[in-house]
Amino acid sequence: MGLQILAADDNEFAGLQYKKIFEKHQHNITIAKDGEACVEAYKKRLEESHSDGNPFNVVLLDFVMPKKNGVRVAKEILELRPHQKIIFVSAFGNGILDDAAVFLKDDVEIIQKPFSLEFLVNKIESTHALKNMR
Amino acid sequence: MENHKTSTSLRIGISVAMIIMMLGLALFLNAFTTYAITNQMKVLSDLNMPVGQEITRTYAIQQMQQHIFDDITTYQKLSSQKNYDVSKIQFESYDNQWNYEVKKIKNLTDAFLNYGLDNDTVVDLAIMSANLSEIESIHSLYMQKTNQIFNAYDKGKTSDLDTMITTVKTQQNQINLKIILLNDEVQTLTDSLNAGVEESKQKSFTLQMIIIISTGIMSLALGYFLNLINKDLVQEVIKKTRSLQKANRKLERMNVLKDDFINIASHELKSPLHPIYGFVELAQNGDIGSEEALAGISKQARQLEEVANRILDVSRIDNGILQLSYEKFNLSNLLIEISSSCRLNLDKKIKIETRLEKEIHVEADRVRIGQVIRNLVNNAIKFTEKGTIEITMQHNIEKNFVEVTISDCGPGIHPDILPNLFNKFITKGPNAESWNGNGLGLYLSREIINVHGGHIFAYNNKDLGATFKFTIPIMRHLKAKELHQKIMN
Repeated sequence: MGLQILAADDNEFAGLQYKKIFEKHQHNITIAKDGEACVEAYKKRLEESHSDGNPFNVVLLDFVMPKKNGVRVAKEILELRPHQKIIFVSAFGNGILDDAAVFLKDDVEIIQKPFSLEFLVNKIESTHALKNMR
Repeated sequence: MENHKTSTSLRIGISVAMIIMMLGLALFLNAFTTYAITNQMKVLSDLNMPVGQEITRTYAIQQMQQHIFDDITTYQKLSSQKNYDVSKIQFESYDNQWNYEVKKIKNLTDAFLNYGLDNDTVVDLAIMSANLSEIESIHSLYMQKTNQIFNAYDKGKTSDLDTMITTVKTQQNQINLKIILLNDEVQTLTDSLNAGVEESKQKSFTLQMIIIISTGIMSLALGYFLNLINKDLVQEVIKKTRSLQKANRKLERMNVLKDDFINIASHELKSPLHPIYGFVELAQNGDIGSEEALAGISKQARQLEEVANRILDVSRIDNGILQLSYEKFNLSNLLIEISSSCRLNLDKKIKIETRLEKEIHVEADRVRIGQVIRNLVNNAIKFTEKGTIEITMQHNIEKNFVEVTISDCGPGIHPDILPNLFNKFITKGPNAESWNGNGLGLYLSREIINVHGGHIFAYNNKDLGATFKFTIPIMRHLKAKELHQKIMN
């Protein structure tokens, strides 16, 4: 059974690559090209699902995006679903994220760019498996 | 400030000099007054007193002589020859004494004149001297008359002498009176000398008071000026402290900017790398074809190059080594070229329209100006969802400038950002709500235009979107003659 993934990245190639790799591993992925599109995609899925659970197993967010940045998108999503698993991908050093990390919870993680696509897939799959075991 | 301080120091110098001068003057005045008073006191003690004494003695001798004369006439009437002779000898001896005393007075009065006295005293002395001479001449007449009387007595002529005796008596009275008057004059002189001493004392006291008060005023002024200098110094310290604080704040700001620069540079350089690794990974696993991967990698590499170039440009500008290579080129063609290439990459519902007044050749750095135009057009595209981007060009040969305007239909520029739009990293920071570009494009554009001697500015349109405008000189070095020829043509 594949995971439901929402990924937001303004780099078209990065989005394309997420799609390739996750589809290869039989996961269902939605790509958004900016922060606003990402929030809209999340809300749309939420409306369609009609359930109390999270609409996506994981949301991948680029930190820096047009219209709405990753932090703002995360805030809006967490308001809708406070236990939504979110992974930030960022090209910034860790220091710059310190103040943004104030509101970050257990369900929120940060991965620094660049990273291997397989590493990302493994990370998401293992986290999900661990969560299911609990 | 400098002038003010100099004048205050000058005032302090003058005050100190005046205080010293006043003190010197006071000392001098004191010495002078002491000398004058001592002199007058000396005149009083050395001369006036002896003269007074002598006059008294002269008066006494005169009295004695008169008594003896009366005795002689009496003895003559009584025919007491012996007593008559003794009295006559006494009479003559008094005469000698009288002459001696008068001579003494004369000598003393003459000595007065050697003391360097004031005019009034000298006049008084002259009157005294004249009176003394008068007394002397009356006395000699008196002596003549008495001798005549004595001669007559000796010859036994006693009758008809009453007239002569009366004359002698009159002369005696005159002499007495004159001596008393002379004594009065001496007294007057003493009084006036005493008064002079008092006056000198009073004058000296008044002058010294004036000097003391003036010195006090000078000291107050000195204090005031010192206070002024002190205030100036305090102000100076406050000013210096403020400017240091300002410099410190500027350094702090620059430090923050530097940190931002490093963060942004690292972000901008790392971002294109991520998809490159992704393409390599996907191609290696056979998930995508190598051609697709290479095309993607090459596009990302170009983006990486662009970012690297921008960062290099910024550091060149910051170090003041941005060099322009001037050439003459057709600005209209450059604008058309750029707008055409931008149209090719458009995937939005955007139209790019150009309205170029007339072909114009400018003397500028073609590559750099192209960079500015591309940056402005790309910004316009980035912020416009749909609508028209308008590129217009106008020129003014007389004023030697060409103006390029690029307006979009986007959301416009946020009023908070607008004043600092062309500063480094102003558009966005890493924590900003929205992110577009690396915050260096407009900064570079402004610097490039400024180095050309032109201006760049931006404003929000009344209805929709924002407008960017820049001007550059048409000719780099425009000579008056060329200008004239251009106008004539």
